[in-house]
Amino acid sequence: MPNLDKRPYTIVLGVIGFDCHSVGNKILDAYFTERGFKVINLGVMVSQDEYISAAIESAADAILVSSLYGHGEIDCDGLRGRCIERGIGDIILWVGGNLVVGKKDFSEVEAKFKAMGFDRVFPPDTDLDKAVQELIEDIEKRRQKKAEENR
Amino acid sequence: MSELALSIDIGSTWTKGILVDIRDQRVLHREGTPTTVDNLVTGFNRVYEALQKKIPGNRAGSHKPELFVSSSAKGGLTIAAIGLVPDLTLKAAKMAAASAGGKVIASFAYKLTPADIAKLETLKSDIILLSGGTDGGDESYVLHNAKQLAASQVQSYILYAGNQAVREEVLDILGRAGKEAGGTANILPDLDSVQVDGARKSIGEIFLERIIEGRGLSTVRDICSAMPRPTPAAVYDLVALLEKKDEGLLVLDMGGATTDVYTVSDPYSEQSNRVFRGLPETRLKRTVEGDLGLRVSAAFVAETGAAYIQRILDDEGLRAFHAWVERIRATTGLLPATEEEQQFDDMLATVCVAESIARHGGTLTPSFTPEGLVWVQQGKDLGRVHRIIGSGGRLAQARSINIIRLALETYFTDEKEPKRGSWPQVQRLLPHFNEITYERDRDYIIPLAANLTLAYPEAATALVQQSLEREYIHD
Repeated sequence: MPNLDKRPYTIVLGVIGFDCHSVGNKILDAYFTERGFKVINLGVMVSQDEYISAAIESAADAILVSSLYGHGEIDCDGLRGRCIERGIGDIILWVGGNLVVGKKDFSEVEAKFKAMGFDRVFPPDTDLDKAVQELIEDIEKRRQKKAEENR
Repeated sequence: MSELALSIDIGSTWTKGILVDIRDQRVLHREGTPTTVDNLVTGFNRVYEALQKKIPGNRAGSHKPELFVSSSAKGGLTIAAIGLVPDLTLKAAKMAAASAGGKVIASFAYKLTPADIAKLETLKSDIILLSGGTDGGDESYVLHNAKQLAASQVQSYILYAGNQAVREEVLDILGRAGKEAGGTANILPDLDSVQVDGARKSIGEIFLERIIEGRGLSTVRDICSAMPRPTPAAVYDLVALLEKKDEGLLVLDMGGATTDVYTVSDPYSEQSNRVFRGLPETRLKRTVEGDLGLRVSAAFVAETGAAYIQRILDDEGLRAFHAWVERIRATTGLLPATEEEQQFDDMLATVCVAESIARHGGTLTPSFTPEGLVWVQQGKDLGRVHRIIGSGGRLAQARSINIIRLALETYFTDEKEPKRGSWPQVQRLLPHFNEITYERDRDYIIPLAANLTLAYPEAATALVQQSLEREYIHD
């Protein structure tokens, strides 16, 4: 798909809350960087406001939140609201990882996080190639919408 | 190479100068006079002429000595910083302003409001440092703020150090409104790196072109061998050279109105259960505390250090202490005459030293995670500092060792020893008292030697070494 806006696709990455799992975060950083994204990786133990601050300064297209330790639900709730409050309400929000404790049907988890305002929700075993394609589509859609609004 | 050099520093209270033999790395003569605030040149000329007379007769005929000048008179170099997010570009802007020798007198985040503009119009800072957005990042805020500045009565020089994608546009908006403005590299080109060098260089040039002129020093500039600089900018360069063998150096410069802290040290300690948050910290760092000083700021210092002072003094002592604070605030030239007044001054100095070092450094906050206790580091870890140099009138004295000792060992005592069995508390990342060596700048040579740093780095560091007096901090 052609990149209409000349700016590189810019994403903010990080592991939310008091979660110190860093391996998956480093893999995502390397993978998206290799595929031409501009990655702002905040690492582990990232607070909601840190994602938003980084996204504002860098005019990011999307925030990709990881959560591996089972407290994702508490940590992620309210993120969309804070984005709206701080002026980037339309940013793409993705979340993925071991989002809840125990064995729950993924469709339930997905519904829960979508209700919180996330655009897409990913289980631990995600095909990154496919995710890259979806991310490009989401970003292009958002950029076109923005361009139309500005016209 | 000229064998002799003159270095003159026009400070806020004193104008000082030295005649230096560059080849022998030696101070031949020293002069000082109170700064003539109504016309800085009068005091400058007094020192300059006195030093000229001391040029040895057998060498007067050879090369004319080179002249190096710095100034921090009339409030120094004042800067208002504008950024986007407070913890990101605004913080980077403050770091850049401090590294350039400036004093940040106001700061603003997000969109400038009419009240912010009114404040900028009244403050009349020398420079407005306008930043916001990483390169290729947000454009809307800096464009909005540039338009607000363009429509205002602000007359300060506006230095743009934000998102480079809109640099021309911002300068165009300001230029068309008749504002004096210029652009430099982004202080935060991406969120992983604070880049102060471009802004430092530009601020130095603005200081030369506009501020020297405004302070009536253009005649001085015309006889200088190198461009006059803000005193702290020169000291910043010198401090970078004073650190050796990765020992970790901290230099304190305490005056009547402000306390400056410079460090050259590794900002992080390797520890497995620590994570770092926030903007990356730099190895070379300057902070200036505009509210911590021994005279002009004495009342605020007494208030800041109230808990510490109450620990030491009884009721009667406290009354006498506050009376002393009132007196020195009214008459800033006052020096302690009695042993008690000297003790009060030392207490104020202890507060300045302890608080300025604590603000320069960062904190560790305990955080309980499913994997146990993790310490979150914010700001610079001063645990890698192993050598402290004290400079400025009070710290040049031999008794300054007590000030340093009290500031590092007992000032924060209350916080240091948590009760047994209590939860871990937030900790300050201060230098480890037991690992510190302390030297005082006996002849208060640092600002004068700093002037020579760019032209004669070896001579500059040698002069400082000669002035340093090792004081034994541990019994």
